[in-house]
Amino acid sequence: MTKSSLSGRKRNPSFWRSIGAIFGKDLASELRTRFAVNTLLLFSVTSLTIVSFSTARTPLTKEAQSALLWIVIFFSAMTGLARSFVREEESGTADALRLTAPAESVFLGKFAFNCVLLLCVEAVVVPLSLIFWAVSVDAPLFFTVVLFAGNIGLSAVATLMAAIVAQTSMQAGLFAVLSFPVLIPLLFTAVRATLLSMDAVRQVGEIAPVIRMLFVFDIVMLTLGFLLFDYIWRDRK
Amino acid sequence: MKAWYAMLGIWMSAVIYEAFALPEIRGLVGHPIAYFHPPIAIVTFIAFLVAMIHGLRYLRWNDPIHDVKSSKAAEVGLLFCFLATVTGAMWSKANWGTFWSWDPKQTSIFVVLLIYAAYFSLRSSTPNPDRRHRLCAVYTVIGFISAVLLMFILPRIGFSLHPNDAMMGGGSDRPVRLLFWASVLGFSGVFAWMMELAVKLALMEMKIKEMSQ
Repeated sequence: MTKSSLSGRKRNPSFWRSIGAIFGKDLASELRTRFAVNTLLLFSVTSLTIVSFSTARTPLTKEAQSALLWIVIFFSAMTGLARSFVREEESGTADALRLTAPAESVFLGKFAFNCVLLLCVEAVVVPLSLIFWAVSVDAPLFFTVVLFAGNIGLSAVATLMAAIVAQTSMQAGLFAVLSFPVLIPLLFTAVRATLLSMDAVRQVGEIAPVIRMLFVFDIVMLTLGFLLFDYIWRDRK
Repeated sequence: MKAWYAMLGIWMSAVIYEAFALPEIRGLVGHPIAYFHPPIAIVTFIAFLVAMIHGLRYLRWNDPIHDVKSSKAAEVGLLFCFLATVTGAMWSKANWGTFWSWDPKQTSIFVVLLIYAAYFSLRSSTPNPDRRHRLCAVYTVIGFISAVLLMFILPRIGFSLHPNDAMMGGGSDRPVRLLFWASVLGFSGVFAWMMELAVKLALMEMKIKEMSQ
């Protein structure tokens, strides 16, 4: 029995295994250089410091706090996640990846890795901002769920757009331009939800719709990525 | 074909004449623009939908003609989007006192403007034609879906000044509603005509380029 017939018979397990392999490969190369995680963390801490230093004398409203938190997270994602496919194209490993793995598992593997990267950033930025701005989060569980849901949507869109920009001639500048309009529904909802989680006076009926909207966005973008990624990833001719 | 263009011209002239002739709608200041601004905004979204459909057809059949159609729909759509934003701001100033208030509909038209702008910067920064067609087609799909999501989300998290029932629904008089939909039809016709001209021009350019090589 040849190797190809073996992998052909068990298509499903190999699909999941290739997602894990791509995730593991990215994690290993990241742990070796720590390029993306360093850029992300330094950028987010720098921007957070600028914001909190320049507003130190004036107490921020809860609206401003939740908006600024998401602005910092958004721009950190925009600086750090752009490289995920550019790196593959530059080092010439993209073609090897095209040959060995199905497009869908490349998308999901990269998405999982970007998700983890962004989680690392949030793990630093969120506690720091809570300390700097003296925020009182009234509903910590709700707040965490919002962060997770926002993280999934941000990484899904960023993965798709990073794959698009990797094939264009001006990569870094285009990434934020392409991602921002697509992410606006998510960002608006996330800012609103964060505001609700900080606010002591809120109705229970207000929480369910925003959470539902966040997850609807996540699911729609993941589905779109799953369906359309093959068209971005492979040359037709 | 010529007869259609003539009919479109007569139709639009009638709509413009009627818009100024009809008496003012209750509670709406600056009334003639009420027959132009919302139809233009609706056609902006139709243009986007057309661009997405042609984008999907390109992905399915790989024929460059679909990319030409998709990009020209987006080009004409960008013009309509710009007009809708400007007329909206003017009307907003007359009615509510400010040019811009981040009302949900203003926000969504602004986002559509951003998506179109991103689309064209993506187009101009991809030199390889096959790649450009593919990436742009994918982006129209993602952008359109995102804009639709936004239109569902915004009214639920924001506030609105827009009078939703004033024109389309039962809250208005019969002639107002009739003229409104006549205007929507007329502007859709104008869009289809402009898009056809743009596609014809692009195809001629392609042919000339082929012949000169």
